[in-house]
Amino acid sequence: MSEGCLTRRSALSAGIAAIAFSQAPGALAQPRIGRALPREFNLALEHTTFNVTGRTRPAMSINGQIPGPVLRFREGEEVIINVTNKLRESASIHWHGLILPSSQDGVPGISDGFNGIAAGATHQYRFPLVQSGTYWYHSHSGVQEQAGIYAPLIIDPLRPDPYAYGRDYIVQLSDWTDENPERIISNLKRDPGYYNYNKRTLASLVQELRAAPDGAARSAIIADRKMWGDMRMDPTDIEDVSGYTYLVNGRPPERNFTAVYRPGETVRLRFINSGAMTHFDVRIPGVEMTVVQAHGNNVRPVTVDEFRIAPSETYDVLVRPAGGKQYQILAETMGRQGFASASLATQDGLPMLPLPPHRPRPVLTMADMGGPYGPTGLDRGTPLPEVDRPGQVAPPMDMSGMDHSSMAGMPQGAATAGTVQGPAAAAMDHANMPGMDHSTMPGAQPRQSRSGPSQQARHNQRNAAPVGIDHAAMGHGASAPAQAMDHAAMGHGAPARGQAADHSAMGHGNMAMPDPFTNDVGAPPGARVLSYRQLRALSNPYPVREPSRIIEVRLTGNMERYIWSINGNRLSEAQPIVLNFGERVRMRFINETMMNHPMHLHGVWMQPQVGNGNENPLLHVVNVKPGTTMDVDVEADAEGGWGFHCHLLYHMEAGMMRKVEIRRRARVASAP
Amino acid sequence: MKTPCNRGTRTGAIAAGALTLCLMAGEASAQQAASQQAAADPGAHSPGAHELYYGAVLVDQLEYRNHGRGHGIYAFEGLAYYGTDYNKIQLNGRAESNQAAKGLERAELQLLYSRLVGYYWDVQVGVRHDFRIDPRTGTPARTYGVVGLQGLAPGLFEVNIQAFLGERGVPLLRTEVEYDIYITNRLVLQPEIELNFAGGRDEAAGIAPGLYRMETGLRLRYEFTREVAPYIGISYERTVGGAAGLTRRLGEKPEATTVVAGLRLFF
Repeated sequence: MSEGCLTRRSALSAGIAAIAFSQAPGALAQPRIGRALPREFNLALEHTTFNVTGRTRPAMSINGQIPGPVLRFREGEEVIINVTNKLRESASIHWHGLILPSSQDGVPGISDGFNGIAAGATHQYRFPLVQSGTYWYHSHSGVQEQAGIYAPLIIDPLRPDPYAYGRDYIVQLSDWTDENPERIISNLKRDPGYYNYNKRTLASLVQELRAAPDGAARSAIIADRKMWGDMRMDPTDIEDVSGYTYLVNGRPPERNFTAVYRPGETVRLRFINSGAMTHFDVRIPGVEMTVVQAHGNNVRPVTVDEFRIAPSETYDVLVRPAGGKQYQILAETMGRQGFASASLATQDGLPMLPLPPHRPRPVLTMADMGGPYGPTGLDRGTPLPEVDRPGQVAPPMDMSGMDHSSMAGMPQGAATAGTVQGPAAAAMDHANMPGMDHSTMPGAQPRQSRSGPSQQARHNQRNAAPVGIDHAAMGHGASAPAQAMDHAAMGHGAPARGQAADHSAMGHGNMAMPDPFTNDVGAPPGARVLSYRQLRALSNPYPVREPSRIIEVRLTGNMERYIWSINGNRLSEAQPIVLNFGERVRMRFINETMMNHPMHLHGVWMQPQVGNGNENPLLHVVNVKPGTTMDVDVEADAEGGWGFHCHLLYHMEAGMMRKVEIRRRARVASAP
Repeated sequence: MKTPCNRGTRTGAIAAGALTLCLMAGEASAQQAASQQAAADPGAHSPGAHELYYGAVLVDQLEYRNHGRGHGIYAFEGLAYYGTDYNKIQLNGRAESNQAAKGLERAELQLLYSRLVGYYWDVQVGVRHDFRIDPRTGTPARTYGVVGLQGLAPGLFEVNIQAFLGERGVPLLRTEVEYDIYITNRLVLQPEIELNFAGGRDEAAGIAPGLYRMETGLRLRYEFTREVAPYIGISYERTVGGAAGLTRRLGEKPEATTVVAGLRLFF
């Protein structure tokens, strides 16, 4: 278990670092002596049982542990890891976030020459470590990750990190279910609302109507209900799966994992979200957190009160708890189903502090509704044009039936109490934008780096030629050009600063146009909440340059059938996305679904265009919010086949995955 | 999916029994093809690119109906399916007991191939067989070809429209519409209506041209789990037009209102 505290001193004294967790029985093979030889580690994947809720349930473990043993490596060394599969099924281990040869990446059927580790077999991984930071490793076969095959992976830097701390702890968040994970998929397939016991009901309608201040608000509530019904969508579908117990380092809240600190000491917390299906909103009431590392890469320190961590993300924060008190590390799920919790205290073994009440459960609004964004079939980076398969892309929403005028002039106060974004607010927004085609909203506003309008114009020209489509100029609004709004003029185009002010001045109420980078975690007013925009890479090996092309990555799916896909094609029917070695491409994620999708690209870094120029962060996963568009630049500097998928486990299983193939292209003379 | 087998299913020429085998063979050969491809072309997907197979059984109605006099009736309506997102084999069944004869009044089984054609819709083709239960009182044996559309209409209405063509050349049309009203997250009121139309006469089966039979019900269920939900409700059933006369000739009343209690199972 990861109870041990990792002191920085021990971490830096080379050989000892790897055995910092040796108190765990059979955790790790002892490293071989001798600096020249690669150190060797042994991992065994086994069936086991795990008891979190009081019921002993079948599970899968690495070296008998859930989570598995911490692997602690040093930047610059080479390691050998022997993975023995003692399971009764094929398995794999993927080193999440590590830059390594494709053949060592561990995705069956996608990584070069790797087809999984057969039951009973041992597979040897061998790769050099060219980076440092907080990562994790997990199975990439079926639903084994949900069953327990996940563990932390820490790489100590060659040169000390540019921030000081007394000790560090891993805080690995995860979601445990007593159910058989295979059963979860089949439940979701036959009834996507199977786990949702927070649907809107007649009872909740009565409550909302009684809370409404006047007739106009009431008719707005009714209209909103009718609209969702007409669209055959469910605004309460925030998290697909329920019945989870949320863990910190394998412990439920009652077992209170405790990070011990000495008063006045700076503690580094390495947050890893290993939840199969869970976004967590993290806060430590009474303690501010300084984010120093995101996804293993150091960033300019930014002090926040809260942050959202999407599945598979990692954030390292420094905290300086004062006064010898016990503090609570709270990770509340995005759908408000539960907490993972741990303590910061001066001694271990204290009982947990009582959990606070849940924050209001978010409700989707019309703004979270992705629309049909053209064009289709082109410009996806695939060898052949690709068309949406029937049944995988939501049909166009007919907003013409909405009676905007009847909602006009609705008072601001109509927002329903008890919801973050109440139905009345959603309706209100429509009133403020009469005639607007919502389906064009996010796509109509390609969010670019803050490199200035002239550069963007150049960029448009460049891209118009080779692909025949000028995304930025067309703005995907082709379906209703006359109605398209000038977002930039409205102030939406200006990222970051002043945005909130703009919105309120415009009278949008509490529902902004979906901003791809900020997270509404339901924090109290004034709380600082991390956004991707605040992440500024301390060092970025890739100089800023124009991408050679834009690859459109539409996140698509069928909520009614639990089909999830990319560009309207599930993995089983999709072509790989082919990148040319050495090129820089811009992936334009367009989320047409109503769910968050943490999109993970193996092998190369993703640089979301958050407007920080050459300080744009380097991430291995980007969370794409419902109804938003996000541009992400990728330097294709690693040859081979790479996994590319949504890191919600059951979305990936249902087909939201692609192979990205980075190929060295034979030089062919061609006209410029 | 490049197997001749699956091309066959797409054209929709269905021999139900053969189809199951065909799909299985199709799967095997598709997997084989995929692994061969993977060896040849590094760009192709292989083991990761599997199709998920899944299935479900829904017993929508398993109930006792009482007119308030005499013996009650037992009724069953349910379905089961298995397959992939796009291709499924579905089995629909319904049966009703006969209060007087203490046997089955009617029993129907459908074997369908179901194909996802749009976001909310499956097209289904297959066969329906009505069993001959009791030579004196029950309906006679009939076999029909079936073409149907099943899905979710705007407003969240569950719709199933089926057209039947029997060996006697009488075309039939059945439309079923259901709606789930969630009173709370576990208490669900489900109104339902079914209308049966005929394009000809089949006296022995009690079928006359036009709307010949309708059934409507209102059931209130409590979902202890998604799997098990007991319910109570009322059901109204009548034969209409010429068919009402045929029913009377059998000495039965053309309409009946019953109180129902039963169990809905979904797993």
